[in-house]
Amino acid sequence: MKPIPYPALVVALAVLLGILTFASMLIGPAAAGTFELLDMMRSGESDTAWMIMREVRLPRTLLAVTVGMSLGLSGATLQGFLRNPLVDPGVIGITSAASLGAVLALYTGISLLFPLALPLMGIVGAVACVLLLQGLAGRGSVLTLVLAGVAVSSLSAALMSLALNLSPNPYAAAEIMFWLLGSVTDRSMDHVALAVPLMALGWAMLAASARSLDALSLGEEAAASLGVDLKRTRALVVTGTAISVGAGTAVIGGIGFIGLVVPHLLRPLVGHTPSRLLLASALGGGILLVAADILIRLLSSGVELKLGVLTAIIGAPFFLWLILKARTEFES
Amino acid sequence: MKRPARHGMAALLALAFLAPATTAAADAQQRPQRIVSMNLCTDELLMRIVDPSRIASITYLSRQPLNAPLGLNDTIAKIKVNHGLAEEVLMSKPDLIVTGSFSTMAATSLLRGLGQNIVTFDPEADFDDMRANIRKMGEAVGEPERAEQVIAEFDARLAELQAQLPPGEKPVFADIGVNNFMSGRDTLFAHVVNAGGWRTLGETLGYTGYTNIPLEQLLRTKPDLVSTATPWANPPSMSTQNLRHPALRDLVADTPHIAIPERYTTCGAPSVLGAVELLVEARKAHAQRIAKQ
Repeated sequence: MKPIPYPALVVALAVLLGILTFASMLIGPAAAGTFELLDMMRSGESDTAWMIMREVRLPRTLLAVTVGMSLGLSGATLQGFLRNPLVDPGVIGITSAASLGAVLALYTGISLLFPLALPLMGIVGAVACVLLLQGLAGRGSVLTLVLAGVAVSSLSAALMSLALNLSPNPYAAAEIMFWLLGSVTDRSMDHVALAVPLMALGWAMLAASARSLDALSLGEEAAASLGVDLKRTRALVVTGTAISVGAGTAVIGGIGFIGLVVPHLLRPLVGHTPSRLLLASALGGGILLVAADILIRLLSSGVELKLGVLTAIIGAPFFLWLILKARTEFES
Repeated sequence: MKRPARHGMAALLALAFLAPATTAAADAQQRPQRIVSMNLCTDELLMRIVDPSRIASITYLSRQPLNAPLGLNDTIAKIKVNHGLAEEVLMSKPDLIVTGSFSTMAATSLLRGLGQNIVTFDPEADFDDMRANIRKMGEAVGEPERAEQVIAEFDARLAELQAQLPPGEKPVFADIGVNNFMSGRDTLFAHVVNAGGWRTLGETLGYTGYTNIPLEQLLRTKPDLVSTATPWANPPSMSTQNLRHPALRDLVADTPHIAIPERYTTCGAPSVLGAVELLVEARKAHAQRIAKQ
């Protein structure tokens, strides 16, 4: 594929994201009637209809868009920073650590204390992960960072299994399982108010690392000679990812593959400049996640599919296809 | 002087007759009329207490034959179903939402945040919990007398069944579930089993809660009655593979067998009487076998 002019690409992605966001507001879950709400608005019951629009569909849509953006953006940043196309935000352990926090909230019953207890515990998990990563790998090489991430990830997964294993109540265990699958269904504006400012802070930190990423594509030493402060860049990338993805995971659960696939999809279109990939991937991540959430509502007439399940089911084979298609490129 | 007095009497009489009627009408207005249940177990309690005309929807689960509560099929057919989505529930404009404390938590907290009237029910671990939840449901829907009636009917039927139990110590019942999960002390299932004149293998071995008992330990015991989880052929499940273990197959083949439909033991609700009835029958058969030997 030929790179298309960058501004044109960004505008096209933004327009597509806008259209899908609008569609997401109009389309209801099949179980409640896809376009029933629009009929309600016309038939004089507009109070209830508007309330549903504002308090149920809007938070759902906003979270799908912003979490998708966080995943796309942090995926692109991490792939640029680690110079490894196989990296996604999960690799530094943030997703698992945030999930662990949420699982512990469900396991201990803290989640029943007040409405936002669960996402707050998720954020606590993500913060703990960052502190641990900085402690373990703050001075070491990029490799140390990745290995520390893998360790945090495995430990969190093990502790989540332990919580499931020990859960005395089958209903709580089932609730943990379902939460881990990831979903934006029935999240409220409170969740939006909690997660979106944190995600925005993370985005700002990731964006601040953009210029260093371009220099880093020449190698660490070359970048250092160009005046890039590696320590500062690493702190920005790790903390930015942790805050944006951690806040997202805390609210909607783990969503796989968006962070991995989106940068791959868009890299040929932006012409292999890491900094340019960031904005494009953010928009692309938002597009994919909101599209997946619309698909869920159209597909399931009864119990809804979970968002994380759908992204993995569609994402993994697609990724395989991408790899096969690009095999010649990798091999040469 | 007589006239006004008589007039006064008439007015008093009229008041005496009218007063209950007007308060009843006011009551009916205050009682929730569009109730939504978002949990299988609250579905049953709700249907036993209020008239179907006051129920806006119950969960789709109650419609599934696998889950349908005991003797409520006609009622269920009259009521719409929901899938636990906030949007669906809001569209039916409920004036009361009842649900379990562990089901559809995201939807529950969203609906509560929107000012909906929500009452949550903890899972019942024994019959006292069940009676408490029935009373709580009665209060929530404004039918406390009806709730007491449901409890009284339950207790009467339970006593009737238990009167048929032969005397003697409770024999051991191995409820071999999926992945060898069995019920120990302080579980709803063990309470149901006790009420039916048996004790569970888990209780006998000193376990508390639902535990998976190692196959070896299971094989060393000689239960007087077994039940195995229905192999889930549709949808298939790995969890019932344990039942195909040759050693277990022999144990199951040599011991009297009972099949208790899961729908009788999922919820702490009057449906458990279905299970108690089956267990009492099995206990009577057990006593006859012993008498023959």
